[in-house]
Amino acid sequence: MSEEKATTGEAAVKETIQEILVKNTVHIGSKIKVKHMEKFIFRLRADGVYLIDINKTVERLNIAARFISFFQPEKVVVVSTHVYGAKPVQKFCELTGCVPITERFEPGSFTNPQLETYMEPELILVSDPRYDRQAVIEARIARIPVIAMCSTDNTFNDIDLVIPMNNRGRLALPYAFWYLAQRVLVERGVLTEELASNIKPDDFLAVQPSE
Amino acid sequence: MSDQIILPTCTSCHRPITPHEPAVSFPCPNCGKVRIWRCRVCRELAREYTCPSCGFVGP
Ligand SMILES: [Zn+2]
Ligand SMILES: [Zn+2]
Repeated sequence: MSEEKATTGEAAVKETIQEILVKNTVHIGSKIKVKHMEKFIFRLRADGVYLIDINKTVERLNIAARFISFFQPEKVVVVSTHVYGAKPVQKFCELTGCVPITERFEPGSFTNPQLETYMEPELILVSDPRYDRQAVIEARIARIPVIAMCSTDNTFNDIDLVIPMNNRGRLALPYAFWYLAQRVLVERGVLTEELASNIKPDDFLAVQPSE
Repeated sequence: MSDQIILPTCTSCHRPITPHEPAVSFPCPNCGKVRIWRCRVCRELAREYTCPSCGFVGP
């Protein structure tokens, strides 16, 4: 198969993070390519789907983790109203102390102090700027920097840091948040070997494989 | 004493940013050493910014 690489030395012994993420579809884009995303695209697959350069995905996940580590955990809000985003975001926040908003974003959460759900984050991460459009709009009004997971058809308007990746996959979102959680803990200097071995991708999946 | 107010400038277009403008500022995501400023227009149009310290290009 054309996608198979010759494995030599180290690569044959242990799967790289790139290989793990590719196996779990983190590099799969969509059939639409917007200009903003061009620099992150690896190639066009025969069936018309654009593939994302996984090295750039990992590089941006690493930078996003560093960015997150500059802030107090409770000042970072992670938003995913996508059905596949709820579980990974909750698990990510459980491990990192960030604040999750899943399933529904109550309009005014960043702009209306009268609301019970009102909060004043210093950084937000959204899993899809289109799905989570309301959060991005309110972040603009409230002047909050925004990290966004973006597929090949997402535009970057009002986004401050892009993570190019499959942001709609059943496996892609859990695996991306699994890796990101570890990197945040690495950047904070708190990831011990024991803790790392307890952070498992399965915990980020909506349905456990054994169920 | 000077009563002049020094406004921050947009990292992308270098225009001064007025206090009422919905601009954004944050530490460079890559190095954290420099504050990046993005004016409303540059941010809305997704114009690139380059960190003057580490050379990181965003968004
Ligand atoms: Zn500007
Ligand atoms: Zn920098």
